[in-house]
Amino acid sequence: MLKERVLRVLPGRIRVMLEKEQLEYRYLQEVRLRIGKPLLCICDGKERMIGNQRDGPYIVTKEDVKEMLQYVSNYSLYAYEQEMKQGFITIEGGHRVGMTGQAIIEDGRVKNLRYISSLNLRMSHEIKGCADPIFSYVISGNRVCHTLIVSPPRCGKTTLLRDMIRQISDGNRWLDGMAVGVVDERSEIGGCYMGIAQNQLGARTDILDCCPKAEGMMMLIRSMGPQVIAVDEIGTAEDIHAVEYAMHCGCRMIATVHADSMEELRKRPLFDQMIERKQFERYILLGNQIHVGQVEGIFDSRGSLLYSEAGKEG
Amino acid sequence: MLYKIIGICLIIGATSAGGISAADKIRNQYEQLRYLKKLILLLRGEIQYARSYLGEAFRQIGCSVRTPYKEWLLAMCEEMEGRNGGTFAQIWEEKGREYLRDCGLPKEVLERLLWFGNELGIADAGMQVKTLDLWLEEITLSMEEMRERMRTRIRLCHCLGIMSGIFITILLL
Repeated sequence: MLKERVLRVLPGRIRVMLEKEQLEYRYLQEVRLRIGKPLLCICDGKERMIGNQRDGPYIVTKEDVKEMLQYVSNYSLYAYEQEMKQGFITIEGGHRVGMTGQAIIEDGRVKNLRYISSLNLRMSHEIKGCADPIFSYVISGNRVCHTLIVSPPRCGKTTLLRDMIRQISDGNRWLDGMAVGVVDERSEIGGCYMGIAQNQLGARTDILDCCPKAEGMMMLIRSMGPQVIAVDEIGTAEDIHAVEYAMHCGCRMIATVHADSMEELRKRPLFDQMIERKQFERYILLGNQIHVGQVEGIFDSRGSLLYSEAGKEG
Repeated sequence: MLYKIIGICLIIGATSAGGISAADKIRNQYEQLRYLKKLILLLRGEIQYARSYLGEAFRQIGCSVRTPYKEWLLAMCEEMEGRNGGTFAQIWEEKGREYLRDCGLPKEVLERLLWFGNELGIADAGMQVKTLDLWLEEITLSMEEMRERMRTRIRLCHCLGIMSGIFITILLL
């Protein structure tokens, strides 16, 4: 399934080449195409040049990039205008195709991209059970604590969030199943295809796909009455206000944010205020020093360390 | 004498039928243009309101339209999902030639339709809708021109049908 999904969006020539390679698709992390540069794959943390022994590494052409762009956008770039502004398109299965090229600026903001020169297919990985070690720390009674997952890019915050949603929705040994509302602005959590989640998010989960977070949270509260709301990568003032609103409406909140450490997070005024006001009851800090998704620490609202994977191993 | 009368009737009947058929062809061209306009309006709606991507829109529209447009749109959708190489414009042209060659559209409209693949799938949704609007305008204009000429041409076809029958009869007599 994963193999088919990957190959479906790749240009014909590269598709043939990858099929000849003995790739373990479940360990595949990235496929990188840069015009005039060798085709690269990152598999299980190791970089690999794709090509054959006779001709050496395959050099990506302009046509390859153009063809792939047509495939990832289903031949309809206009349908992905909003995503392209952010520099990536999410494809079936929740995988992300990042792109760079020349930015088109309008009123000082990026309107779109043209002359796309690089594409990066980043695989989304569903790891069931990856939230098991942290669950006892984010449950208080039969109630989910307001939780913020803090992590630098590529440390598995979306994967952790996805598994938390699934377990809260289905229920586990710490809590009974609860109604979860997910605002999946970039289709990364559920990997929705035509509105249906391709990743498992549990039996009691309602997903609002491709919807701006702030607006989506309000819509969910009004329409679906979720007990828990989950969103990925909050950052703007509107997001923060919507999170606060959801908390005041009695919903439990799980969100993720990009930051290297708690100190770094506090440097951002909006988050600093939230921490001061003790709005989130738990902070899960992720890293990748030992492995991707390593829990560097779980902190409570006062900043006391409750759990650390390194400490546990030590 | 009886045979001659039967022969005359047959000749005039046949040429008249030819004239009626030619007139029907003109009517059909107009009807096909009207239908094509409807298809573009549907496509415009799918793009503007649902932001459907082209394959999705073709499938949606293809399920509710008549032959040969139905087969054309569904074949397009299938080809696009197969991702067997080729740009959108190439797929559009190839499938258009395959399914719409004998659909009754005027030749110049069909050629314009086949070329239109180059203008679909562009990056700006607003621009995409405007492109479709422009094309709709072109079709409306073609329909108006055709309507103006249609009545005269249909009458001419009928007259020519009968007159040619009479002419042949006179020649044969």
